[in-house]
Amino acid sequence: MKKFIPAAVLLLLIGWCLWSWFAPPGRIVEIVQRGRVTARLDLSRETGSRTIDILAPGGGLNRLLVEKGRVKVLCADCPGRDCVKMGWLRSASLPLVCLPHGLTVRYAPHSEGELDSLSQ
Amino acid sequence: MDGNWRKRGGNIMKKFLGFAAVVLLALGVWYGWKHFTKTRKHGVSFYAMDTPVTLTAYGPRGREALSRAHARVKQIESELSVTDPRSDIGQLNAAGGAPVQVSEDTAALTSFALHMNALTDGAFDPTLYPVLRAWGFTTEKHRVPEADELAELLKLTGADRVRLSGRALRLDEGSMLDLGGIGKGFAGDEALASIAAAGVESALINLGGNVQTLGLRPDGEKWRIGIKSPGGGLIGVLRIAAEAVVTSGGYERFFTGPDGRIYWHILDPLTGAPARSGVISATAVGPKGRICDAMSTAYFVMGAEKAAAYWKEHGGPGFILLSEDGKLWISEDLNARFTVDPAYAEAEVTVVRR
Repeated sequence: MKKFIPAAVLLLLIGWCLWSWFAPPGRIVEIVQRGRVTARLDLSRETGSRTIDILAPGGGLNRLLVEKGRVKVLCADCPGRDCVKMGWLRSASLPLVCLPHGLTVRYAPHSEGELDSLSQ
Repeated sequence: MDGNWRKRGGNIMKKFLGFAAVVLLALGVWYGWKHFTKTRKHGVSFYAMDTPVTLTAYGPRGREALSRAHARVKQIESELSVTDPRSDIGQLNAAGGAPVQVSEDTAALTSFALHMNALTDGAFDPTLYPVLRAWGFTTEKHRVPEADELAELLKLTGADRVRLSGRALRLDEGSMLDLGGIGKGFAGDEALASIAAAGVESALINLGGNVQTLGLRPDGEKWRIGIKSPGGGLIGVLRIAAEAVVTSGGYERFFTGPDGRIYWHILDPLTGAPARSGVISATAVGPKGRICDAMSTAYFVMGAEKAAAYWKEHGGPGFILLSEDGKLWISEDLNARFTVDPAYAEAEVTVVRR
């Protein structure tokens, strides 16, 4: 019986490796403030619709709207409101960025949106 | 005797099975590792040419490729910037009519800009900077210039104000050159060339909304590119292989005038005022970023009918145009791989055939 334990552990390890290599990417979103990840959201687990207020360290507010599978900046008190104009986060290669508040909302590494990129 | 043979046969079988298991395991790990390195994603984001840039490359050489591409984009920015007095263009615009020796990039791109100006019958014009400045689009201090002022400024514009001889570039006094309309497309082409030269087969870059791709996605599928709608959502999703997708829209930079009208930064070279051709979003799709960059602006200025006629006559990048009355115009080469967003499901679609 003892003989089988290493084999079973090895099999589990291989299984885990294969899963992490081939698993479909999730919908994890990171909230980054001044270069540091301050929160993570799993969009696939969201139910209904909610807002999250993000206060910038130097003052300033961005309000996120989070729904199942999607997130956007609903409103903000930054000058250009470019983050709001960007609409929903659709692609890993085009994060929502609020330069004045040093805020980025992006898909986590290995997560991806429904689109590869956005032409605008 | 028989028993011994059976025992030995069983041992050999066991050894063989053990060996086979190890080989299978090694093959599995090797395959998994190959797949992992081939699809491994490398990304870098930075600010250049007054816009956010995101470069993504897949595979084992991705990191090195991105650092080369990053350096190339920054180099092009330093040559072409219209606001940097040390750049080729900055020096040229301040030279008061004197000739300026420019870099190879600037000379090649100027020659290309003049070519596109002639090809589009002036719809793409790289000399509109004095007019753009009068509208305040360069300083964000927006205003609506008087007709007389525009007429005076338009005298300074036109491709014949630019003289290029080898790498010596000269402007008429008061005229200005701005390669911003094709600079991003050019930087995209050059960045992808750097990435390809480093041995990467799959990459996607986004320069301020200009999307350009190398090869296919790492899973062998086509890239899925959303085309942004002026309303904030999507017009639709386009599937592309190695191509550039460039969209020009009045929604990118605009202001509301004292008369309540919206004024955007894409100007009609004939009037010096925001181009009101009926098209509010023009997307150009083709193999070269610089051509798509010029043509998306030209299609926007031309309007749907003229753009369709141009494409029938000259070919060039395919297009997806959205008019202010909500109609879509799509060239036939893109039609089969473009999925209209549900928001435009009711829109009248005209497929333009050559």
